[in-house]
Amino acid sequence: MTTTEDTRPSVQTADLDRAWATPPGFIGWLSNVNHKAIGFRFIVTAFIFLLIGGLQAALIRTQLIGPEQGFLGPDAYNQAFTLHGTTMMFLFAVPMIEGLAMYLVPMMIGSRDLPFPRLNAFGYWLYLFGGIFLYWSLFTGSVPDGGWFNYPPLSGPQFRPDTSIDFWLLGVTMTEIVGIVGALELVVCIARHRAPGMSLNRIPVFVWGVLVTSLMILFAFPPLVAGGLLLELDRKIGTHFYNPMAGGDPILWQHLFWIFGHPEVYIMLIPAVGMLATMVPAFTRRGIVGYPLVVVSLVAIGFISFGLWVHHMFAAGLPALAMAFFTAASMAIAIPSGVQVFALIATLWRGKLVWSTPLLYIVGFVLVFVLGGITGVMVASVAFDWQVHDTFFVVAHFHYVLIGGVVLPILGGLHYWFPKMTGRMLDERLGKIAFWLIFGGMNLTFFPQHILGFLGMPRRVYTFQSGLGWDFYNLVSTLGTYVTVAGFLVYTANMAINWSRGRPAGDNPWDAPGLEWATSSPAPAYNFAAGPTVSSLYPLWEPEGAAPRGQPGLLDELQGHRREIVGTTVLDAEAIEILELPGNSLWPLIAALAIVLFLFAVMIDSIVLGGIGLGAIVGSLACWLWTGSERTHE
Amino acid sequence: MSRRAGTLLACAGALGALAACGDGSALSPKGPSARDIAGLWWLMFWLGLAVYVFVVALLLVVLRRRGKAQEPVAATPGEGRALIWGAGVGMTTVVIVALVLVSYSVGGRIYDRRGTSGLQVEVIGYKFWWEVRYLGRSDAITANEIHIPTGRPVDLILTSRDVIHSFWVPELAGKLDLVPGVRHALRIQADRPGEFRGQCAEYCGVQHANMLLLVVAQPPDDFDAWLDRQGQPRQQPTDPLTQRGEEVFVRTPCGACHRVRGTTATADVGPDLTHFASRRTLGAGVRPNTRGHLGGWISDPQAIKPGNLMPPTKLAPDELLALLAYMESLT
Amino acid sequence: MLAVDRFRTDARVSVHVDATLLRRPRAGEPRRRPPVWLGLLLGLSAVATLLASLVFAYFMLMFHNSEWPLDGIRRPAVGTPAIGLALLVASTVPVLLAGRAIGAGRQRELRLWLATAAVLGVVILGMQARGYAGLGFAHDVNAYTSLFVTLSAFHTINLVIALILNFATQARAWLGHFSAEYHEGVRLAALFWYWAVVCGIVLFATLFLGPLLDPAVQ
Repeated sequence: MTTTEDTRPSVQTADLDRAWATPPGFIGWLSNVNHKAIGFRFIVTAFIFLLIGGLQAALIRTQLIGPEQGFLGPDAYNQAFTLHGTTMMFLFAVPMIEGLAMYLVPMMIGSRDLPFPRLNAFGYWLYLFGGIFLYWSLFTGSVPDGGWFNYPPLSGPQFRPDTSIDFWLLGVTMTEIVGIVGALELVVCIARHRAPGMSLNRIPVFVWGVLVTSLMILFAFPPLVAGGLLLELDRKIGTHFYNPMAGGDPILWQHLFWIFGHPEVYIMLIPAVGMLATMVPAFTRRGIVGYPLVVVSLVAIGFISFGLWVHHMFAAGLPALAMAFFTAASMAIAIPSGVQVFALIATLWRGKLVWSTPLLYIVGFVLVFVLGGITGVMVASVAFDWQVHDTFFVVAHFHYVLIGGVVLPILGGLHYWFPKMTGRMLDERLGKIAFWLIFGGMNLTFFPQHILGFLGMPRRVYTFQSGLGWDFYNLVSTLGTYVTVAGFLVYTANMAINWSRGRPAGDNPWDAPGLEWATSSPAPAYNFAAGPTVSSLYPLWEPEGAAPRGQPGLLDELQGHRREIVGTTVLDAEAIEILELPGNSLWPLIAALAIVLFLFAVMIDSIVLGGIGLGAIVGSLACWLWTGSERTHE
Repeated sequence: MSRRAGTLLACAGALGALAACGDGSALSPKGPSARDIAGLWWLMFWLGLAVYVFVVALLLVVLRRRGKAQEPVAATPGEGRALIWGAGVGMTTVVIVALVLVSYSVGGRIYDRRGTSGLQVEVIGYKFWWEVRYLGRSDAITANEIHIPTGRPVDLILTSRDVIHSFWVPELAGKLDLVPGVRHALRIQADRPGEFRGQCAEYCGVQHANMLLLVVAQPPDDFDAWLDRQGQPRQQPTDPLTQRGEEVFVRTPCGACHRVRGTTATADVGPDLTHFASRRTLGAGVRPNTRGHLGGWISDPQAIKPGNLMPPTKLAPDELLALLAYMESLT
Repeated sequence: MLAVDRFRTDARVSVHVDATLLRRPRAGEPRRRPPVWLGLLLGLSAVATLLASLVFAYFMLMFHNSEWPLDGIRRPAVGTPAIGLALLVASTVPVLLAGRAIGAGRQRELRLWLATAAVLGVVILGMQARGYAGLGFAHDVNAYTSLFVTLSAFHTINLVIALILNFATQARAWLGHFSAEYHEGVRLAALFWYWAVVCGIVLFATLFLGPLLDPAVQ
């Protein structure tokens, strides 16, 4: 294995340490723009929201432990499932993946940072404020309770004249903006800042997944922003987009929401599956089987996922011919998904297995996701969906695909990359205990719900009558929830304990092939002292492609005393330029605060405050871009 | 680990499917639509089980192999093609094409049965109850309980007066949304007499969980008799107690929201109560229709169904007794 | 003093590029756009999708209703908006010429063309303001008026942003920030201006030509 110490006189690490340093103190922390710091904040914040969402799940299931329970009244229950879905989808899943991408992608492709560091930081602050904004509703007593998809007219001005739905709309809009700017930056980074020699066929699968997902985000999030804007206008200034009495149509919301909502779940799935494909080599001691097919399938999933959204609306009374198309498309997406699964199985087959916690999560993915995928193909059938739509069968389906396809890979990925981020190993025993509790618990929780769906139990019901035959399955489901919660507690404890006291990890504890393992754990702010070049998909296993020694060329021009990254071409990653990055700045934080101020003014109907907010937005953006102004260079 | 887990999962799958065949279940169909869908389900179930067992078995075999230790190696181009193309692409494609075709066939059959030639019943969704009007027999208005003749198609015309609801009686048919401003048609049919439970299946607010309904299938003659009765105005109260009860009904807030045909109470904010006593439940299925429950409901519906749109009514005890007697007389 | 000051430079092409490249420059090699250009394009794709969603909403509601406009409202006259559209399309010319001018190092011409574009933009905004005042309906009458006002406002907002960027670019031009080698700011502001023009064309077509597509409406 190559070391990361670089003794070339042209690049001194002391210079790099100074150039990439964060100023000390609280202001320094606020102005930090390094991708690892920001990515880390995303991950930690998203994990906290995961736990909060899990708490809400436990509350929901406790209320449903038996018929006619009085644990949560109808209002509290409806708020709980609304917040549970909203938190998990908007505040946990996508931000967690963004955080992992921000942290890992530059390292995996051999770059020192993302190309727009202040945009990064802005994304984090807006995410944090958006989450706080949404949860502020708990303090005002005006908690959103329209469900995570918030259909009008129920969420419109006539039936929800209070501010509850505004908290949802505005909070979610903030997280949408975060997603879009993060995606934008990741695409530019992956397109133009890879290590020289990292041509398209040498990009790690996770990075491909992030690229596909980011492009999807750019096209999937705006429809929700548009739909949300129209709903907020209905609520605030009396427009009639969704009002059937004045020419509007509530089904318009459903279209706009699900044009976002269906790609959204694949936005979560694709990087997660990419993570698995990137981790599995370390535990099979060989590269992933069928890399080109795997990558093409990820792209195919990305494309096809935009053509499925109507399957969420099969009971809304749309024309038969339209629905038939969406049945075929919804089933067709199982084909590239199948490629992912069988590529993983083939890799496991041909490799030498190294049993450890991340491998358990990979196997868990196959078992759980495939079951969810099968029920997914079933609900894609219109006629069948007419029975199970909006019942617990669908709840079971999507939890199987989301937990199997997103949560388990994330948990496995966190376990796998924890050493890289903190320099410490997680405890294997605790890791395995957590896995089994979560795996077993989620099956106990959600498998019975398939049956409940058939027995007639719809979604989003705060209670049910006794004597319907539903009691036993609800009881089992709730007990399964407690097991799952225990698993998450063990997982969290594992991280909390080993954060500072775990076994020191070293550069590459898993003997993995990716570039991120070529530097220390945790990596210095500048990632690599010497800009690496690659000539293989598995750089650390085929060291001819690892960090160069004394090689002339552009990489040598990287100055140590400035924050610089290399720019490369899109297809073959030939180095063509050097870019200088902006440094620490408070403007991202200020701009995020300005947006919060403006949206808060919208919520409380204050034109004065809104004007100030708008001015603040324009002003802070102007200062942000101005301080990045180029002077005619030396 | 692996073998036991795999066996457990397969058993759970089969058992689960059987367990879902209970009463009131979509898998114990009582009408042609539900029967078609149940048939489709069983086909998909066995196909899905076969695929899942295949994947689990493959995984078990793979995980138990002991490969020899080796230096880490990058992938060989072209390897694994058989498995990925054969299973990942080939098997999946075959299964999916089959399912698409079967799904189109079943869906088409259900769609082809739609029409407006059956008995037409308008079902209007409110928060949190169902108004039922028999079209062509415009005098028959009831709530939360739909009677249909056995063996004949019935076309439900669905719409809403407020938010989106969804009509679902699993033993008879799939569901369809009640959308304000639009009218959708859903055809149901019951083979044999029976009572079939239904529930709102689109979140519509705080008491969505308690927006239940009942479909009662009767032999055609019994149904005709029922329908005729429902079309008539209320029976004149004959004894002093029920007369007093009607007077209480019309005078107090009851008459401000509820209609009893034949009296001066003609409001249509709440359900039509002309033949209230003929219904099996009250409050859209939340309690059985008995004197005790009715007394509690009238006094404080918020205690039973908090957040529904009926306010409590404070009555003197003798007024309440008279009113209850009157309500029981509305057969 | 915060470190904010020390690294004020934007992501940009450094002068090192021409001196040392990993591969030898070929004759006629085009100058590459810096990454921030790709970033702006991607951002505009997202905004374009937002526009597409609003247009989708318009057509969906139009086909959903049996008369359009609703409630017998008269469709706004197309004359003035058409003139505004023509001016908008014409404004791409000074923006284009401004880019050409600074590309050849002509600072005064740059400022002249930027100012011309700004004047056109302000005139168009003025016409839009008069248009809103003379609509004859407000946004809250029915779905048609809601759509008309909201979609028009979407364009107005984009035009205002384009104008703000134009003013900022003019200020930087006056401060001498641009040169023939580097004037990325001019190009980026120009891209947003072209976007505002495209947005205007699409919305004009939607609001004034779209209703012609609906056979139920005439």
